[in-house]
Amino acid sequence: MAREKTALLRVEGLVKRFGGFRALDRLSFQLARGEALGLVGPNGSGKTTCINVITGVYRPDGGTVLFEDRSANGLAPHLLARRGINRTFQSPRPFASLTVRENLEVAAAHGGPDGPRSDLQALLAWLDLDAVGERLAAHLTSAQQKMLDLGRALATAPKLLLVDELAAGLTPAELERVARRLRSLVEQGVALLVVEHLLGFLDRLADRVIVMNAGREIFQGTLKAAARDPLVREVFLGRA
Amino acid sequence: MLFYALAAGVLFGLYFTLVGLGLNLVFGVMRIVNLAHGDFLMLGAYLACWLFARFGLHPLAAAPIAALLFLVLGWPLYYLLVARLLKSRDAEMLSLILFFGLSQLIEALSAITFGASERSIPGSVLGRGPVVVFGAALPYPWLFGAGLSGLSAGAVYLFLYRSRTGMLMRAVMESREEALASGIDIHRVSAAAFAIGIGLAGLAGVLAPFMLGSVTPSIGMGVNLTAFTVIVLGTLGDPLGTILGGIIYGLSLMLMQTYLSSWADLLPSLMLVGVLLVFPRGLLAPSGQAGADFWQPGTLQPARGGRGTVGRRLALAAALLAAVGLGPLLYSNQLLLFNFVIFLALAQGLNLLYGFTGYLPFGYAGFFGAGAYGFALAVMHLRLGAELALICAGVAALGLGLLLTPLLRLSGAYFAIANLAAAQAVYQVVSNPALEGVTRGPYGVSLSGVFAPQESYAAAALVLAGALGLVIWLQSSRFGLGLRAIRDDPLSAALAGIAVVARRTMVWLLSALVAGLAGAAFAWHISVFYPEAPFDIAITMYAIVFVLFGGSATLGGPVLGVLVLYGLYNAIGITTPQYSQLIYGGLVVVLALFLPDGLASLPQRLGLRGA
Ligand SMILES: Nc1ncnc2c1ncn2[C@@H]1O[C@H](COP(=O)(O)OP(=O)(O)OP(=O)(O)O)[C@@H](O)[C@H]1O
Ligand SMILES: [Mg+2]
Repeated sequence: MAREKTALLRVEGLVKRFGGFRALDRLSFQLARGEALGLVGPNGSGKTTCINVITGVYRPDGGTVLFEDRSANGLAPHLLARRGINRTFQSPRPFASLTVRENLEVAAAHGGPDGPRSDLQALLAWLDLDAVGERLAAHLTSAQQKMLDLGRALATAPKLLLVDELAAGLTPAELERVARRLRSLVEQGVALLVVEHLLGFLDRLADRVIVMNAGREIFQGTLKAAARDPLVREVFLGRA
Repeated sequence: MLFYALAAGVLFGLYFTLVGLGLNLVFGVMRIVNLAHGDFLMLGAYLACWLFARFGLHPLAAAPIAALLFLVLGWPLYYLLVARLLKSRDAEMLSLILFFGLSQLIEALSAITFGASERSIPGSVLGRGPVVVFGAALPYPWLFGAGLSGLSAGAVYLFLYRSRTGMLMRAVMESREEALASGIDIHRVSAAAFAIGIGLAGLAGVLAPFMLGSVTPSIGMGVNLTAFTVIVLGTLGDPLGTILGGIIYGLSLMLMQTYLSSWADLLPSLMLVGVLLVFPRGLLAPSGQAGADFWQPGTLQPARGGRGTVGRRLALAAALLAAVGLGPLLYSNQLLLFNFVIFLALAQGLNLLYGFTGYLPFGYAGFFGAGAYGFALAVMHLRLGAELALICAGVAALGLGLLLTPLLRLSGAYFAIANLAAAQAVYQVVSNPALEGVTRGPYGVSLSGVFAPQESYAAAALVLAGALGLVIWLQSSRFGLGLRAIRDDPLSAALAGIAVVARRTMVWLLSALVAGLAGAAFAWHISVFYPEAPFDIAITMYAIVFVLFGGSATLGGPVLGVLVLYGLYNAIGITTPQYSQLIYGGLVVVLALFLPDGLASLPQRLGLRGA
């Protein structure tokens, strides 16, 4: 099927500088519909920056981002969101003064590529947030805020979802539920980029991983192969 | 000529460095904007004038006295005002409001105590005759002022870079969080910085009679704009940069006065707006990372807004409009009623922007004035009837709004001050004698040909109806929900698919339109006025006070604010503007300190409301 073969997202030679420092240094990868790609690397290696550039927070200083074979370089985040790119944040950024339900309504109202989804109640239930739907987002626990962050992204019915360390700080039971939810999204055809420190979590989700160090890709392949790669081991375990 | 301008520019640059230094120190250490800086400077100038007139004290002796006295004054003031402020969620924004009130308070108190007449100290006290350098005759007082400024600034730098407390101060400027974490007593350092900041203002004030000309209680706001321009030029929070800013500013001012003298007054406001737009973080700050800033969530707690239903809001609006309609039948003071309607409209217009986007337009009166003059010019030059002239006024306000739309890229205090400067610039253009043929310059306009008290009252009522309708729309629509999302977190809002910039711009223009049309109704109603009237900064202050008092982002709050405060003001029958300035200034201070979210938040604050 052609659907499997053509990449939804193509990143080529992406560069992002902060002053003289290169947070992204010629990063390239592809991601197809229904594929889950892991992105790992030590602190400060550029994972969040990669998501920031793809979602339009920063304009890249070099390279291209192609989404559905059209350039997505330097577009504003709301335009990218409407084209079907969405994300969660390393530390959740909900609309604190709105209720949980209003948080999702805002995103649903302005919509993603196929028009907004209307089944907000189902989405709330799916995220285990139906009991707190009328509560202000500011008053949620941080695990609930993470789910709300995910819900805000999903309410726009994205084709590409970028999640930034969603698992950090969750209990094992919560981890299990989140992994299952993300898995089911992938099965529905969503392309997923997962930034994660917890390799066990990633192992359950991602078909393939990219390992980054200092803004560069140092490995691309399965997680198992990554664990055997000498360069990856050196970066993660230090020069022994 | 050129050498004279350059030499004088450097001399004044040193003085402006001193003027900006205190403000920058306070901003750098506390991240708050002391908008009363210019008024402390004014007080210092009065002190010097008094010491000279009473005791014949030489300014050289007055300088340390003023510096010390103000330093001692600043210390308790820190604990009284700032310490409390720093605990709030958005100290920067709240400081702007608080010190704006304090500035008005000081100005009013000074006007009441000293009178409005000009004070000065003869320059001959300092020395006779100009000093001639390469053929340029530089007045001796300038050399004196520049010299003392340079020495004082030098002393401050020595203190900052050599003393222990100074090092701590710089550490806090670098990063408040790290300083906190490393166990620095932030309050003591901040108190010291604040006291020094006030002391420097007092010191600069002693030199003001020589460098700025004669002194009146109202010079404060102009000095603030100058000081802010200097430190923005030199990068906020960077004390060394202030020298650069001061010199650039001094040179520009002198070149402008030499070659384009009638427009020289425009310099601070235009330069401030221009620099902020091109270098949002100052000339020395690394550029290119404005994008990251843009997406920072507003720290100001978004107003939750009223919880009422659309029906109840419409009922409130209808009742208010009915009262406005019946008013003239029941009450004979038409001008007072008219003012009520105008302030109701202005308060709601400001509420649109501040309540729903968080931008605080300190230059809101600029739109009011633009509308008034748009109306006047259409009547005078195009010979239009009042109805068509109203449309022109709306276009004028919208045009100004569009011109200033780039200001929305600035956040918090930067926006508020740039907006104030922009309004000031518009006023200076309109009232410039060079434009007498177009605007009648400072001599005012007379529109007696279209004078129609009843019709203009009706026009004001219509503007009010429109403003109320807009507020209700923002409270109950999807568009309004999106605005609240933007206030909470602009990036999340964008990811929800909301066009953040476009939506903010739209509210900004609507808010400008309300003020412009209100200004047109004002021009039509009073028909003879000077440019000071519609551009009066007091108009902005009133609108802010009314909104803050009642609670922003609500429909009833601003209405309550106008009815209670403006009603009270008229009931007491205060006719001297200084006293109303005093009371409102004091009220702003109290509101900012104790009730930043307005009366509407009172039940919540007292814990009377659960969810
Ligand atoms: N807005 C910015 N301005 C300056 N430097 C930045 C900015 N954003 C990120 N950086 C720098 O870029 C580098 C990469 O940061 P990034 O947040 O992408 O790392 P990360 O891989 O997500 O790390 P972590 O695992 O800690 O989340 C870091 O050195 C960071 O300091
Ligand atoms: Mg990260």
